[in-house]
Amino acid sequence: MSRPQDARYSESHEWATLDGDVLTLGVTDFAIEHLGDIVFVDLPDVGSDLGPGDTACEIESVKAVGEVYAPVTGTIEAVNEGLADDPSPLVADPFGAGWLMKIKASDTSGFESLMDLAAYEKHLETADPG
Amino acid sequence: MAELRTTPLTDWHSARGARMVPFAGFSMPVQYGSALEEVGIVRNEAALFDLCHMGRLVLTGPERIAAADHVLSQNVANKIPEGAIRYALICTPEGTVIDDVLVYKEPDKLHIVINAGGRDADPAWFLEHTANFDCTVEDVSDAQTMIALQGPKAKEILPAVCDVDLSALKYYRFMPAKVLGSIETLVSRTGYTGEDGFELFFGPDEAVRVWEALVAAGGKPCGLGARDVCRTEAGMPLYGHEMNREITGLEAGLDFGIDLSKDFIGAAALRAQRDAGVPRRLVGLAVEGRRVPREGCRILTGDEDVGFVTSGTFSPTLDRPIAMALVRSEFVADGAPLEADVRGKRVKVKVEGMPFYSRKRKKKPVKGSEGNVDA
Repeated sequence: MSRPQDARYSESHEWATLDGDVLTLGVTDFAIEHLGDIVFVDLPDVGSDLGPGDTACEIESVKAVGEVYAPVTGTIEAVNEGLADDPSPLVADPFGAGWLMKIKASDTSGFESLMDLAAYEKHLETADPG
Repeated sequence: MAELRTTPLTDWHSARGARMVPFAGFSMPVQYGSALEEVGIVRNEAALFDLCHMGRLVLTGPERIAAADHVLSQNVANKIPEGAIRYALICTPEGTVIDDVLVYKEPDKLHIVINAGGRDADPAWFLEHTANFDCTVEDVSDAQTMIALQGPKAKEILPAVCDVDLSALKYYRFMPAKVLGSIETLVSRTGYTGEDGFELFFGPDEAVRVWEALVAAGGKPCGLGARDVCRTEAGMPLYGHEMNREITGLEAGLDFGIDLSKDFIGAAALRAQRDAGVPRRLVGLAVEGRRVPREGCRILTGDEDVGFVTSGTFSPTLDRPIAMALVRSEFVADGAPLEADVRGKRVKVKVEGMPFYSRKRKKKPVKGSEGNVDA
């Protein structure tokens, strides 16, 4: 799976892109692979407010739950509602159709401090495979 | 962290891409591919599990049965026929649980299967508390390979490698047999998945050869993740979750393995608890929605904390979340409406009889749509 060059990445395996002040958030193929079989995505309510490091949503697999953290302060502008019924795009296309949410950021500094692709792939080499 | 222990099959698992995780001090396969698919293999085909990490004790000597009856909650003398297997607990004097075990009664010895986590504590406890009996306790854990073959096709696959007479091998019975023509093996019709199946015990040098023969005959290697999901679907308790040194066997609903008409370590405390009323009960929970109440989630009614989840998983077989919880007895009536605090959000749950899944009646219909509780 090729990871997009224009996205930024977090140590906890979220990816984000920024268009103006709207941040699109998802999780990487690495996160999906290590969660295992995904059975449910618990998306946040549109209009809710988040701060950096807040749990933005939860991804449930058979044996584990993965938390997705918001990298910026802002308000949920949209969520990928289809995932609530069918989480398979998360597995098939985590950087495209498997996007999780769009956050209208009031402060984008959290985005700027994320890793670029090269730094993230270096991070993966040392990441805990568990 | 101390170096992880291996089994005779560890290299085999690793070489075939199994995801290995630390479990009770061993490096064990949690899944080969998809845990979801592996649950399906158990339910529809035949899964192979490496259980070498589990411990085995052998009791011999003229007073072995009296010794076992002193340590174990089951009535070893009178309720286990030769050739049969029964469930038992090792209890503290307070009636809480040190481990849960299976006792195999052979003509001249008792073969006791213990949990991986009990491999240090259980032999020591047995030695300490059977010192006054004329019996010998031997830890044969490293001298035996233990493999499980589980699923509806297990009975078609086993005869390809083993000469055991399956028509004579009933549920919770065992017999000696030969595997691959010459390997002395103890075969039992037991398992921890809720399906028909077998567990095999034989010498460690033959582990890879027997395993590969079972694979060639149609057994599919699966990880301990699927086994844990299957045992939860089948409502089977797991030591360290549904019972431990702070939970009694009566609270965990393990009465079938406890004979309070005899004396054993913990019996007096358990009789007192029975007479006073068991304060908490292990129950199954039906869950509204698809969020999974996992171990440790609090169970509430209003603002009152009435218990906690001991195991929770998504059930692929039933396509809904399931959980077991230890709940104060006054709140455990079937269908009683409760809530679980799932990582800060309240989720409606209802007490549901276990097992969640039974191979005899297959999927259990649940009131309400899509398998969820009706709110």
